[in-house]
Amino acid sequence: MGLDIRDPGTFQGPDAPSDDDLSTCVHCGLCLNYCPTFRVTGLETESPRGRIYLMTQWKRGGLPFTEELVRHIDLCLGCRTCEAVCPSGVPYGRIIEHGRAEVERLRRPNPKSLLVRQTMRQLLGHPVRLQAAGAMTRLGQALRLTGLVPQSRVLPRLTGAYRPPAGRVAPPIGERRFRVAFLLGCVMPIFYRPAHEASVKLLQLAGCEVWFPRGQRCCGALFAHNGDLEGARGLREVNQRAFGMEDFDYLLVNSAGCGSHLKDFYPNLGTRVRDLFEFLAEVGLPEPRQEVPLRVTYQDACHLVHAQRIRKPPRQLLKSIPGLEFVEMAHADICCGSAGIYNAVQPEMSERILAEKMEDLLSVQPQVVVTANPGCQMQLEAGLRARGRQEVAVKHLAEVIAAAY
Amino acid sequence: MVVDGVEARRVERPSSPEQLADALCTAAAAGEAVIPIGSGRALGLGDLPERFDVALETRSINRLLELSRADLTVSVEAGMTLEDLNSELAAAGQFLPLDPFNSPGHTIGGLLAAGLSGPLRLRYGSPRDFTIGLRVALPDGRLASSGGRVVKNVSGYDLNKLHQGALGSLGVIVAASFKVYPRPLHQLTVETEAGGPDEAWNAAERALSLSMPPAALEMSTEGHGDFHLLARFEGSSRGVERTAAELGWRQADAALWATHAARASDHWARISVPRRSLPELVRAIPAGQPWWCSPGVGVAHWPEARIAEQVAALRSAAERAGGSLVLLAADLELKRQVGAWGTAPATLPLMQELKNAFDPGHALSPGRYVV
Amino acid sequence: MGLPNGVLRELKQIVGGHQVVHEANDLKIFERDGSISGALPDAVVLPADRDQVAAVVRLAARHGIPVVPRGAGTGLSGGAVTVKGGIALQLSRMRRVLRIDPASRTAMVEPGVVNQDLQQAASRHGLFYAPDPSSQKACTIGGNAAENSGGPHCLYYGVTTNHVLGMEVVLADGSFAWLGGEAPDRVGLDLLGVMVGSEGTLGTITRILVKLLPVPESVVTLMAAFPTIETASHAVSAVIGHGILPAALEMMDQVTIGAVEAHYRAGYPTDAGAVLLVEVDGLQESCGELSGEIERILKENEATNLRIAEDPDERELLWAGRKGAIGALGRIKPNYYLHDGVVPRTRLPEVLRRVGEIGDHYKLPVANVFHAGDGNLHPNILFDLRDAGVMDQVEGAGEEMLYAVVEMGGTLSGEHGIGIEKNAFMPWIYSADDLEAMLRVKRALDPAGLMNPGKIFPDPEREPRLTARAGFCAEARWW
Repeated sequence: MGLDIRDPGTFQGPDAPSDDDLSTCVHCGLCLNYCPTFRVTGLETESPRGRIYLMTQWKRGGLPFTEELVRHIDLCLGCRTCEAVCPSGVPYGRIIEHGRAEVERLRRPNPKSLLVRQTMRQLLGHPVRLQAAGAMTRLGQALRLTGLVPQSRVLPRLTGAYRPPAGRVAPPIGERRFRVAFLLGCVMPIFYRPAHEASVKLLQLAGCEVWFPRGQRCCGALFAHNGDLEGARGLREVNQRAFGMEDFDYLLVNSAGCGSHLKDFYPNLGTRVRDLFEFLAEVGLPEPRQEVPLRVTYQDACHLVHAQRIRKPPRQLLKSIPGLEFVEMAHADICCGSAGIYNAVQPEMSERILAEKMEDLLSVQPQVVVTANPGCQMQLEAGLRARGRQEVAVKHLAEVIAAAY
Repeated sequence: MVVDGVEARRVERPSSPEQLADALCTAAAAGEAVIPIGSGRALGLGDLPERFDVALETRSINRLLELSRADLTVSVEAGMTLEDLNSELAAAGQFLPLDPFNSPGHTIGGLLAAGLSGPLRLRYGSPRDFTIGLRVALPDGRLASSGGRVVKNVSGYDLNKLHQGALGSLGVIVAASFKVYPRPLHQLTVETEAGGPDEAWNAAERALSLSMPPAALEMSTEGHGDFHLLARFEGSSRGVERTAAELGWRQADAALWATHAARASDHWARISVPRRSLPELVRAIPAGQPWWCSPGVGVAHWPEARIAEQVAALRSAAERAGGSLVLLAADLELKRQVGAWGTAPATLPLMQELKNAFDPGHALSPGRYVV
Repeated sequence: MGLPNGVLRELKQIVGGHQVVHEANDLKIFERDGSISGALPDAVVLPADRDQVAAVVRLAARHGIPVVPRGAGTGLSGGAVTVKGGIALQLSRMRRVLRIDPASRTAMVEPGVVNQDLQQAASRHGLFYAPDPSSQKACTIGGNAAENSGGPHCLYYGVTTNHVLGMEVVLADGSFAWLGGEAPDRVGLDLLGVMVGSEGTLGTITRILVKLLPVPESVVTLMAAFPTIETASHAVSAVIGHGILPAALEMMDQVTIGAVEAHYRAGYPTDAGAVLLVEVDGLQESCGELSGEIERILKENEATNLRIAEDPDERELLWAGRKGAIGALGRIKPNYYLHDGVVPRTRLPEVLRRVGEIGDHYKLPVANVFHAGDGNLHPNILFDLRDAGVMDQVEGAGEEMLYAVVEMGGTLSGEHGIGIEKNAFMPWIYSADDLEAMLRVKRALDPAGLMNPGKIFPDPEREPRLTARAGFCAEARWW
């Protein structure tokens, strides 16, 4: 793997982070203890402040653009925890996304990054291919063959993909209060069919007519987070067309990463996008019909709690379920190390972060850990499996709430 | 002037810090040994002097330098007595929260140098916690200040603390500035008796674990195996009333505190240990002998420290608990036998470095202090 | 600069290869802390434990290499900046809370423990650690002890030095010393008292024993708006003058409120000239009585828009706004430069007026957010480092502000430390004799001058222009 060491000042492409964005950082350091990679390494170079300083230096010619330095950008999870705690309002999510795009532009294409990009474009962007029964196994094998996914990271057991109801509309239960569009997403319907089923049921209970636009595809979040802004823009166009075909009040998303991306990246849809739990907490659900006698802890999805600042609604919903004992774990809002495809491309760092997460998680002795993002769910499942702790179930938040009805 | 049986060859009574610094410098340059003395109330503290040429008295350096009512700060010269300072402060509705034993009559400089404190330490800490500035005369004639007159200050090394409890071994304190406190809105003194040690310690523990713990809590022996507990609450009137009602002790005369502060002896020791070890330590005081202590702080005073074996046994118990037993006053023989301070701290070499840096000729109180 | 031959290899043997940063480009990222100026270290070393710290320091002593302990690098006086190069001893991996003893109400921690993590650990026992610097989300207890940090609640509870019971330090020669302890009245010189606040110039802290306090039964937080900074300052004096010492008494001016509201939406009135945030804690009865009294005094002193936080969330949000205020100023200008001089409380209106005039003179916006109850100013000069020549203006304005503070009987720093930022001004408040006494301590404990060199004391090598300003001390002396 090589990288051109170009002239300082090269960090100036059209997609590079802007000088104005970079200079909002006052170097106060309040982000450090919230950055998962700083927490495990203790190194300023693996902190948001350090990465911003690095990109600023690149931009201003204070540092050369080298493979070694790029590694600090690669190691960022993009969890945006730092952004939520930053008092100066540094738009870190935007900075790192653009930083990655610029890094990808400057970096001499290497087999690993090309493969990741191609695999994503070929699979995630095409629901048909993705849904083909063996697609995931093939992807898994393909990735394993290239050494991208360690053997221990077994993908969840597949139960058949989620399919929208006939006519692509699910009727409300009781009075119709809203018409909502539903984002199916790329991996959710394949890996987490029960989550989709539960989500739709909850929406129906909340008085929603749920519409599943035809022709929708992956929202492009994973592309953007990985520095493939071009790929993300292509998908945006497809989706904007699909969701533009009929009227609806809100676009409902049950995957945190997608919700965050839609809100930030889709100017035409963004204001109508709602995370499922944000929405449910706001409009309310009927009285629960049965107890859910479980000891449950909650892992914040970074793109829910930090990018979308949705912290309380999931907890409120959990606490409202009769019989359910909610226990808060330490550092629930720190990333689990999944971060999109991070666990595949940075397995070592991902594992170190996951190890701390497992310690915090297991110390509150839950029966179930819930989260609201497929990546987190996979990562937590893998972590528990690796530790022989499968008795702790990992579920999507919607499933646990729906169990009360 | 006599210290532990050694008489000074002469007495100096400077009336300004500059004069004191000159006198100190002159004596040190001549190789004379100098012992700084305030009102002499803590002169019993320390080992026997190796040499004693000049008694350097600070009592005439006793001006009130500044009392800034709205700033809650005061600056005084070292020779002023605590009582004089507090009466000045009282006129402004304020006080210095320092109530040493063997009162009245301590000078401010003497109190700081000897590192004394009293029952109020429970709420306000020791002078270490509210001294904001210090001015010290050094053996080479310099007058060196640290800190200042503001309540919060991290400018330079905190030498305010270095000189406290150092028994004038690095320099002679000539003035100090303090953060002072507004007189509490409301005060209430309560007391109770206990028939045995367990009952007494339980009562103390109960008082200390109140939502509003007392500002001062003292326990003392009463003879016949009985114990007396005295507590003072400070705060808003309703808060104090609620707390006193929760505790349920009877109201007592606030004058008891002055009586308590007058306690002293010509053979007394101070035991300082982590507070959880205090019950064990006072239990080790020979049966029938009196003592008093601050259960919330970890300090006990033992006024019958006369027999070397008893002192040594208690001291080793205190040191095992991570604390100390210091003789506040004793006859020469006892001091010779067991020493005033006990086992030297492991950091003694560092302290010696500092001593040599400030007082290379060992002019200040040679033999008296740890270094 | 640069490390002598073989040192790098030895460092790697001590802490492991991954725990030494030495690549020149990487080192650039370690050149700064939370302050403005930077300087490159020759290596950054991350020890895992006390023995590794000692081994690194011994090695450095043998080769005459400067050692600069570094916590989270949030300091505002350049305390962690390697002005003389050498080894930056990054203690962030040593972040274990070793022990919390609820019975004796103490905690033993490693230096890299983040202040807020200690708070969380203590809170599980109904206890808290009183010093609460505004950077507590990131700053470390080791850094707090080295700088003797303050924080809003230090008005009532005291600063770090009042809460540190003991420390283990690695001295300049690499030897260990345990200072202080749980028992009161230690025998011998109070080395602990000197070590706290010595800014890493006397040793490296490897373990700290701190005091914890029971969480008060009740807390009342009041927010009051004032038409001007001056009226708010008078209200501060009035509260204290009435014999009330609140747990915290903080002020923010209009510029700051605007920036804070943009991020936190805590409900601070953006049209106010200044707001005070006042907190009392203790018994429910006492809080009610005291807050009522404070409310009355504030109203008498022109307070408008007085509000009491209804619930813990509202209270937390008000505090989040206050504690994040300095960072929030980044919304106005990308850079800030602040001093933290202290004046006697009664001089607050005067000094703030002067600060405003100086800002106007230099045409630099100034935002004030500070511990009003302590008289501890934080005038933030806001600027954009990209503007040509601005740094000279900023430093000039800062210097004049500090000078005004000293003229009013104040001091250079209340909680941030002297570091490399204010060391040139030390002769303003201390005479040559005063500084000599402090230097005697330095020379006694670090004869080779390897521990965090270039800090606290004027350094003629570095700032010849500024050190020429000595002699002012005669006017500003304490006595």
